Amino acid sequence: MLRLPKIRLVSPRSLVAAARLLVEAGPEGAALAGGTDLVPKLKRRQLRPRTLVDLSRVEGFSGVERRGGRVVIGAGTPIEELLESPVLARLGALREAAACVATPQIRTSATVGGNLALDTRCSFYDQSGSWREAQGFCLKTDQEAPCRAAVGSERCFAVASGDLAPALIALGAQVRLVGPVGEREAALAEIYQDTGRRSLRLKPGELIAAVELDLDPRLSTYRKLRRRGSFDFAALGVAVSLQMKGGEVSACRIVLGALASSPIIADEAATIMTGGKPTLERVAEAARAAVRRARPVDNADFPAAYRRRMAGIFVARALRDLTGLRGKP
Amino acid sequence: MARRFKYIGRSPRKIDALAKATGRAKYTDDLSLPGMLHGRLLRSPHAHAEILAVDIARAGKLAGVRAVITGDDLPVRYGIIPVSQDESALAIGRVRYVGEPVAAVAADDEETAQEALGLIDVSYRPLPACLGIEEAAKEPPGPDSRLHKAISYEFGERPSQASALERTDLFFYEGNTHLALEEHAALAVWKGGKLTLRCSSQTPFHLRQIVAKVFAMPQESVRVIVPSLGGGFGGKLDPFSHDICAAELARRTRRPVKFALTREEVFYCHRGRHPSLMRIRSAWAQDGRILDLDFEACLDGGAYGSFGTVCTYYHGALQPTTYRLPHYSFRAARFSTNKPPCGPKRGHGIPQPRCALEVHIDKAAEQLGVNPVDLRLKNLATPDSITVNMLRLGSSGLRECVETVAKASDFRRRHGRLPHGRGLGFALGSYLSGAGVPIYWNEGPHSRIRIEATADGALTLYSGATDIGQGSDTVVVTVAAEVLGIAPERIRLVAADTELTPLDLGSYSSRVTYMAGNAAKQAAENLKAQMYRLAPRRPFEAALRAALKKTKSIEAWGSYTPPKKFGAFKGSGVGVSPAYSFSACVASVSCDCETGLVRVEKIHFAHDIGRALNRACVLGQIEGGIHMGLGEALSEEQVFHPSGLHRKPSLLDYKVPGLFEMPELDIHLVESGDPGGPFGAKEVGQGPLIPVVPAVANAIYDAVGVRIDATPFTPEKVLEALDAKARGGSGRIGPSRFPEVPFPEPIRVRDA
Repeated sequence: MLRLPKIRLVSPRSLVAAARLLVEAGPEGAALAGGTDLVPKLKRRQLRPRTLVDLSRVEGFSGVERRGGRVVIGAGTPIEELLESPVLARLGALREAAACVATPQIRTSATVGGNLALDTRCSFYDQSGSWREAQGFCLKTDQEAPCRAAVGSERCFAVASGDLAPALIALGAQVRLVGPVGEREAALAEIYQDTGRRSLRLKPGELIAAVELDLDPRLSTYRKLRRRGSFDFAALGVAVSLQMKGGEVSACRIVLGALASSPIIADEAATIMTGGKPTLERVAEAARAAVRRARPVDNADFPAAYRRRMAGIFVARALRDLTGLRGKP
Repeated sequence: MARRFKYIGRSPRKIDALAKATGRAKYTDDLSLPGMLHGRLLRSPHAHAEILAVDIARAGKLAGVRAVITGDDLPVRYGIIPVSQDESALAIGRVRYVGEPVAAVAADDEETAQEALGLIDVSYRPLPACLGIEEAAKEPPGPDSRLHKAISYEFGERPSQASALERTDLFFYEGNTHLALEEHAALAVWKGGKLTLRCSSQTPFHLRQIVAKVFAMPQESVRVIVPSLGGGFGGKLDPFSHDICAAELARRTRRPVKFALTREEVFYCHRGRHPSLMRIRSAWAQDGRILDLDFEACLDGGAYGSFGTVCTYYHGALQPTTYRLPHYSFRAARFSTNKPPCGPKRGHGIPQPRCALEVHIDKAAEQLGVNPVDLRLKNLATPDSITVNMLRLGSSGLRECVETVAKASDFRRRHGRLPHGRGLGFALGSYLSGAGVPIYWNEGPHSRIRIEATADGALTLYSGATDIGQGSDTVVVTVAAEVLGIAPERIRLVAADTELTPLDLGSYSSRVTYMAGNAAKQAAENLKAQMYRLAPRRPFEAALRAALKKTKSIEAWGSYTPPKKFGAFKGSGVGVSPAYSFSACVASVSCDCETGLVRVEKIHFAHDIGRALNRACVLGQIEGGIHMGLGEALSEEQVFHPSGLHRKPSLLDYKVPGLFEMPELDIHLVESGDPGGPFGAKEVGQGPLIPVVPAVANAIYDAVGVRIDATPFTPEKVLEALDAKARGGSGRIGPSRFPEVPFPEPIRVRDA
């Protein structure tokens, strides 16, 4: 194995200091949280930063805390802790998404913030430096180079394959962001944009500090398509949340992960489900509407057409399970 | 059991278990020597190209770089088998696959060596690349022909009886790789004209021979030592560029040089399963007897020969060890393509044809209206018989294996009758307990073992066999301990060091337990005889003390030479073995018809082991074989982009099954007691993988009525087949054409 190259490591005590260090380091810097995605990339020389800003010493960065009817999750919280927290016990989508991130060993190191800020992935990008050189570099890192996954494409189709983002968006999460000169809040969905090169809409140096969400009695679930029951990144993620009132769906959110460079909010599908009693016909219609939003390309495991088709199956199954419907329309 | 054993048949802890579990065991990459340099290889970015020039000047000037070498510095061609001396340590004039080593650097540290690779300027002229069997078979005979080896045989006589059923099937078996946990590594030191090479090799004695050839020096001046080795599965049998470059760079710099490959580089070393396109034709009598079997195969060999010739022969060798075939013909061709070389992976060339055959028989059983288990039993080869291709079958517990899994799974009652989406599949398999004919022909023993008792009372066993994780160190020590009647811990072991230990051909062809085990048994018996001659009628320790007072030391040798082969035609040496193992497998699967996802719920497995020497090790090998078989069946594939680049050269992207994919296992050992094996033992390292893949294929058909005639059986393929079936098609996914191949005139062997 190739060991890590020599890299400067700085360990600030606050997020503001971390943000400033990242601005100082510029494109040669990278933030290090759990390291489970970054370190393998460093080892295979996919990335070559000179400075790592280590977030493990930042105070108050980790933990799950209940505040009234809301819960605040520090971005530095290891993902495995989400599974142990009684506060989150009823947030089905979040727990299910957390439970299928990588492996238990990786989850004890990998953090919530790291998963939300996960770099987009592509089978032509997530390779060693020498592999990419042999293939020819691509749009993900070189403006002048062609896209290798969708030949002729003007844009990069690298995939947002984190599991937590679709689940948290379906649950209506907000994030607190800390930058070099202050902090702000935003809906989680708003920090993503559907561009593979850079899918996070964050200002230079800006870091996710915490995630906040309501502990309302919503039903929710998360489904993940992957080759194996462990390890693998999502080839498709489906998060659904539902609010039922008097046997009718009063609110619904459907979010598709790993089909584009950001989570896809399938609002048309959600609208079909909202208002009125859930029926198998409406579920089927919503699933079809969700599939229409999915335009994956062949740059992850499974053929794109298969992933797209499974989006419909997974949405329908998630809706049927949450509403207790049985059978096929 | 005829007699009670003290250690044999039980599950004492492996002698290296504690060191490995606690991290004390030292693998090659853990070793470091004073002044040691680090080596890295520059690899080709082209699948096929002419090398116009290699300029190492810039790299050589980088601070910390101690030497840079290219193909011209190591001109001697070599290869693991005598007929395929087609490799060089670094490419000379031409590169033939992406990842082929072109230059090597030794530097003060790994990072500097890595940086230096970027300063080596190579100019290439790209050439058309050939990446598959169909393409390769299109090249007409001549200088551009891709045909590496073609063979053709015909055995026995076709009975005059009319056939009730004739059918033809095509099957494609995708390539896949070994994925041993330890990445390859080598550490070379020269001292006074003598080379010491510590490396992750399954064949230290072959490597010694090849290194001596490359450096034109006597074999005794090369010492190969294998430290702890983290898995081989056939992937560490060949001599590799890093072994030879480590030696050359150490020679030039007069300092130790270590190479430790990355996982990606291991994918380029490969030597794994050949992709194979196969066609089977069979004829059956009304009563279910096979009248005729015709088998053809095209193997995708990758860029170099490796063990490919042997693999090509193996494609046709073992079909007759399980079924009585009155007439059997087989043709196989291996093609060169621009991909990492294929070679021997667990099961060598046997899993592909066995899979195609077992699926073919399943289809025939349905047409004949016979239960697949009963159809096989009707045609089972007879123990202690001579097969149509002149193999001497010895002990066989195959019938018991078949009946055991059929009963355990209630196969006869449940097959074909489970609810839609659930199914059972049956298959069997067979393997050699060591090749009867060595790859480097010699008249000498295949394994030798020496046990020495010294004046201080120490007992040391010297074994040339290489423990690749399978437990061969434990086996040789346990066998000797059983004979001597002492605890295994009493025996000190020196193993896998070409200077200190007697010759052993290596850890391949499932030969070590049978051959080194027999040698250990004989050495221990010999020691005992010598000791009791000097000091009769005493317990062991007292006898040893008394004997050593008289003679200071006792040296005892044991060796094993397999019986001579039976056939006398060209190629008759392939498939010959002193004993064959047999396995039978029932896979129970569920299939999700909306997603195509296949889940293997349970595996019933029976293996004729002859006798289990260490029960836990035997079960471990069977579990490991099933795991590897499931990977080949469901998810693993060594596949390439049109550019020739490997699509998934990482542990994340190459989909080896994990814990969640492992089904419930129901394993039965059949102990038929082989008369020639040590305490009756036969092989278990490779055989158990073989029937798993076709059992899963047949189970998928039983579950949802589609035939996936191409591995791996992925959800996307199953769904495609289900779609086709729903549209009124056959529901079969698989190859539809077999290329025109200029096979030679068959060698006819009539006289069985």
